[in-house]
Amino acid sequence: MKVSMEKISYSYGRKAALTDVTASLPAGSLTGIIGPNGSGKSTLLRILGYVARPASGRVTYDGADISSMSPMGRARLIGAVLQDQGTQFPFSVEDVVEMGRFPYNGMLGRPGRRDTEAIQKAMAMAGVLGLEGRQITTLSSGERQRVFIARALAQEPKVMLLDEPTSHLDISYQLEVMEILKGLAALGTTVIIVMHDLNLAGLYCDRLIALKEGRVVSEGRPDDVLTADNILEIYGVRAVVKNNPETSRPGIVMLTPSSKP
Amino acid sequence: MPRKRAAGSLIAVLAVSVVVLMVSASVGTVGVPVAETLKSVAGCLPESIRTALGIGKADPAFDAIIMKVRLPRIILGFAVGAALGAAGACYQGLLSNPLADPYIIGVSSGAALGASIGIVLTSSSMAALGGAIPLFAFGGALVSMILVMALAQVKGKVQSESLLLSGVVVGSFIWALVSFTMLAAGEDLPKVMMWLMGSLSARNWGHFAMSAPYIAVGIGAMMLMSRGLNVISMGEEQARFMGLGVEGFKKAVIVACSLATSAAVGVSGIIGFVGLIVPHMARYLTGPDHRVLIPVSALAGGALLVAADTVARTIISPAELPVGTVTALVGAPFFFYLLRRSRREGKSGK
Repeated sequence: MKVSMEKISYSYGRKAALTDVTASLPAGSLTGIIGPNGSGKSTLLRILGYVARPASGRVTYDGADISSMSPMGRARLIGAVLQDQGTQFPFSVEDVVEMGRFPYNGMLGRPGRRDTEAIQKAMAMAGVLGLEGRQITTLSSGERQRVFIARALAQEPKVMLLDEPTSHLDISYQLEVMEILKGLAALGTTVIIVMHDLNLAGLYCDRLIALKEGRVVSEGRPDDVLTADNILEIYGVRAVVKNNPETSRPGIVMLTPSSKP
Repeated sequence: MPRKRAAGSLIAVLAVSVVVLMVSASVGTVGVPVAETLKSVAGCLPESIRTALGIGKADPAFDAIIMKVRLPRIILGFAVGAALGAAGACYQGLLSNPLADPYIIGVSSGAALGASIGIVLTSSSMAALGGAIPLFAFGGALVSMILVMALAQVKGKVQSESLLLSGVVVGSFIWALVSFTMLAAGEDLPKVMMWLMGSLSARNWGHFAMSAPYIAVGIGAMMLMSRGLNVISMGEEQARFMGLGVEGFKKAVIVACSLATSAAVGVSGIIGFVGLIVPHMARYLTGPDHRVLIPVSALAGGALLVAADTVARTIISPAELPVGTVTALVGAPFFFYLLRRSRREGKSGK
C-alpha cells in the first residue's frame, strides 16, 4: 500500500516538532526514518498511524485520507510495534499475539477459524512458533520483540510501523528482526522503521528519510542519503562512508571528534 | 490458550465460594446444622419441586435465623466483596499499577463524607443506617468520582498519572471535611466511626436490593470490556495502534468500577484490602487475561469477604468486630507474603 505524507506539520505547544514533511513511499518498500534525538522521528511515526493528529497536512494510504478512517479500520491496515511497552503483566505469548485480532473481532469477539489462521501465520512469519505457552515477562528481549512483531502481523496490516525495533538487541537479534521485516516488505507490505543505526539502515532499507529539527533534510535511496556531508549536517558528526564491496551497500565509520579525516 | 486453566480456576473459586457461603450460614452465635441451612435455602423453591426432590421443611427457628438474619448479610457481603474484587482487577489493569485498588480515585473518601453527613443529619436511630445513609454514601462517592475525573482531564484526555494524583488530592481534601463532620457529630460519632471501619452488621435484604443492581451492572460492564483491558495493558499508545478508542474506553471503565464500588461502599462502609489483594490472588491462580481474571476476582472477592465477615461476627461472639479490621489484619501480612513470593520468582506484575 502506497503511503503519502503531504506537508505534515505538528507542534508540542509552541515548539514545532515537524514542519512541512512531504514524502511518498511505494507499496512493498522498506523505509528507514533517521535523524538525531528529538528530530521528530517518533512523532512522524505516530502521525502515520493517526495516533497523533497533524496540525496541518495529511496522510493518505493508496489515496485514502487516514483521518476519515475508523480506529478499527486503521488498525486493520496499519500494524505497529512501539518501544518498551506491554510487559507489565505475564500474558502468554499466544494471548499477546491473539490481541492483534482485536480490530477484527472487537470487544466481545470469540476467535474463529480466520483468526486462528492469521495468528498462526503471524507467529510463523515472526519466528515465534513454539513459544505459545511462554510468559511474555520471561522472554529475552529479542524473543519479546519478535512476539510484538507477530502481534502486529496478526492485524494483517498492509503497512507496518516500528519504533526502533532493534534497540537493546544484540547484533544477531538485530539482523534477525531486520530479516523478518525485509521478508515482510518482499511480500508487499510497506514497512516504515524509525532507526538509529545508520549501518543497519544502509544495509536493509530501500529508502531513507532523514529528519533534522522536524524538517526533511534528505530523502531517497540509502546511497544518496548516507553521504559524509549529510551525516555531518544531520548529526554534526564527521564520518567516512564507503561502499561495502561485500554488500554493495553504504558502510559508515564514525570518526571521533579528535581524529582527522 | 490455557482454556483449561481458565475453566479450572473458575470452577475452583465457584466451589470454594459455595462452601464458604454454606459454612458461613451455619456458624454463629446459634449453630445451625448444614442440612437445616440447605433446607432453608431450598425453601425458596416452589413446593412441587421440593416434594419431587424429597426435601422436607426447615425447622422454623433455624429458618428465621438463616433467611432473616444470616443470609441477607452473607449475600450482601458476597456482592460487596465481588464488586471490590472485580473493580480492583480492572483498576490494576487499566492503570498498569499493582497497587491500585477500588478506592484509588477517591471513591471511599466521597462515600465517607456522604455517609457522615447523612448520619449527622438524620441523627436518629440505628435504623437510619438502613434507609438513607447508603444513599448519602453512594451520592458522595459518585460526586468525588466526577470531581476526580474532571480534575484529571487535560484537553479531554484522562492521563493515568494525573488520575492517581487527583485521586489522592481530592481524597485528602474530602477526608479533612470528614474530620470536620466528625467534630460536629457529637454523640453520633461512634456511628460514624463504625461506618468508616466497614461493617456488614445488621444488614437486611433491603440493603441488598439497594446495592445489587448497581453492582451487577458495574461488574457486567467490566466483563464486557475485559478484552479492551488486555489490549490497553500493552501500553496506551500501542492500544491506540491496535484500534482501541483509548480515551472513551478509560472513562467507561472508571465509570463502571466507580458504580459498583460506590454501591458497595454505600451499604458496607469502607472495607479495605479486599480490592487490593484479591486481584493478585486471582492473577496468581488464572493469569492476567482479564476475560477470566474479572469473574475469578469477583467470586474470590465475594468468598473472601464472607469468610472475613464470618470471623468478624463469631470470634468475640456475641460482640462483633468491624469486618474492615479483619480484612486489614489478615490482608496486610498476606499481601506482604504475595509480594515476597513474586519477587522471589522474579516475575513482575504479580
